[in-house]
Amino acid sequence: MEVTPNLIDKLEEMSALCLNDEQKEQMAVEISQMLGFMEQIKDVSVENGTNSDNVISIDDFAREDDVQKSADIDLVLKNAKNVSDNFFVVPKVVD
Amino acid sequence: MDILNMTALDIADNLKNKNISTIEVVNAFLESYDKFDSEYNAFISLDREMVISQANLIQEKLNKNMSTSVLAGVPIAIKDNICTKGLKTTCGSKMLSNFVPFYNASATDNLINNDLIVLGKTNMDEFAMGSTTQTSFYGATKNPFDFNKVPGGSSGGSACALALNESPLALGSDTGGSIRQPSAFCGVTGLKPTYGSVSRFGLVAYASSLEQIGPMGKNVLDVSALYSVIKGKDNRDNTSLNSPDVDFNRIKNADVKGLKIAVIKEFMDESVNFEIRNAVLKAVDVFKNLGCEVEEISIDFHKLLVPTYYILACGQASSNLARFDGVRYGYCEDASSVNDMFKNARTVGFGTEVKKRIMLGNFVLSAGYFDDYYKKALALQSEIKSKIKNIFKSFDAIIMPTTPSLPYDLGQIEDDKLSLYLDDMLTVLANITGCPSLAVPCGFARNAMPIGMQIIADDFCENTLFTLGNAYQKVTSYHLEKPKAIKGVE
Repeated sequence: MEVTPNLIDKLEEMSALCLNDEQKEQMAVEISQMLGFMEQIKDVSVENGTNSDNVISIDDFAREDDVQKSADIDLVLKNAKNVSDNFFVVPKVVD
Repeated sequence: MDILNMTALDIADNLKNKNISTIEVVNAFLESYDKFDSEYNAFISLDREMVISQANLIQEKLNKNMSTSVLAGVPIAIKDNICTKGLKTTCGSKMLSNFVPFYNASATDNLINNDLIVLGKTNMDEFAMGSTTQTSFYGATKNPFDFNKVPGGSSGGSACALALNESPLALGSDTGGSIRQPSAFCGVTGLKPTYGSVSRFGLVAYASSLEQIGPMGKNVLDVSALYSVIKGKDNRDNTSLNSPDVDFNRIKNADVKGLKIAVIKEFMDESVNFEIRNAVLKAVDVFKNLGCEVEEISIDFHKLLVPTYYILACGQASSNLARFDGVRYGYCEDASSVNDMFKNARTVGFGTEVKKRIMLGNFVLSAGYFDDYYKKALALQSEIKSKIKNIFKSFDAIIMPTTPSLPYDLGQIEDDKLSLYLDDMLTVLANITGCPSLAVPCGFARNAMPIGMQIIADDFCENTLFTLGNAYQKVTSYHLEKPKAIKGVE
């Protein structure tokens, strides 16, 4: 299928990325190549397939509702650039 | 004593019998690291003080005969997408260049609880997306057998560290062949376990329904011992399961008489390099001589494997990697709005290959395309699984090449990425179906590069794989061959 500049713009937005014009052109070429071989499966008829996420049969199980020790908050916050008290800081979201 | 040439199990025995100390062991491997790593780039990080302090602690336990672990005191290298508390875990990405986990992956916990010594973190393709270890933000790893070739990937650092005697054991992760393909390219042994048999808690997620952490080593016995340490159900991963115990007696006895092996015709045709085909055919003859019954079979889904794999993997990657927004961890640049902050972090933090797979993933999951791509791939996955299950009604194992090509030159595939993706055709089968697959060295090409085969079995039949693999390694010596680089220094 044709990978148009509009499609690349849409995917860029959905992916929360910013590409320059050169990168967009390169991405269009490579994505077009990939879709070229991915498209092979569109016309294949599937007789017995299901839409399960896991091919190994896994029983659902729930943990006991026990209180577990919390992670060390200081260590958790250490990986963030902007923190204040026990919070992560981001630019203002609501005016 | 020649510690570097011992197997991991030999090292553990010698430690237990007080013939050597843990400090002698780690010093031997650190010496190899010092000798080779600046050139070959197998490790991203290694903390000497941490290594020595672990070695001292475990030596104390050994002195008091307090450890029952089969691998007590043995050093191990860990792929850098498996969380290690207090030790940087970068995923080969700029995004996580400063990320220090505050918890261990369950696999890491299992190593520590079994008294292994964590040496450091190994290089990998960024977020495990690649098969050459060239997409790492920290530079490419080189092939131990030829400095100008790639070691494979994405667990290329782990495979390289083993081949260069920088570590006797390693952990990798395998989403589409990332343990087995570098094992083949570097002449080492590696297992992609049955999906669910090893906990994925603490493995930085790429494609959750396809990937597994797995053991890598210098031979099948070491790999089986490491598998016994990391496997098992984990409350922190709801997809984990209890699998059968490793049957060391069966594996060591190596009795494979009467086992039925299938060879898939479509994986032995001209799409596979002829030297690799010949090496695998020779390996099949070895199994025949050991008393196995071998039969050629045919499949009709081989051309669908790579598209199915990439649709599922990219779809899941786009969702899994949405967590990298620069807020709680990862690369972050200040911005005036939250959306700009997210975009800046991801645009600067991710490399090109990762961006491409995220964009492709968003495409196959998006309205209007989901049914034709992702949903169809899921349906195909279950159909392929039922066809493989049928094969295992009549056979104990499948033997096939691990890769269709010999190791590429560094930089060779930059302009032809599609052919690189298509080269995953032999490895993705085990990820799509969840089956275990063991990669074993089975020859050398005329250019002196290693060749590997893989043995695939039904779910939870790792013992069959180890038994066949060990039987093969008892009568062959490909796994004992060393790169020229280390022959001169031993």
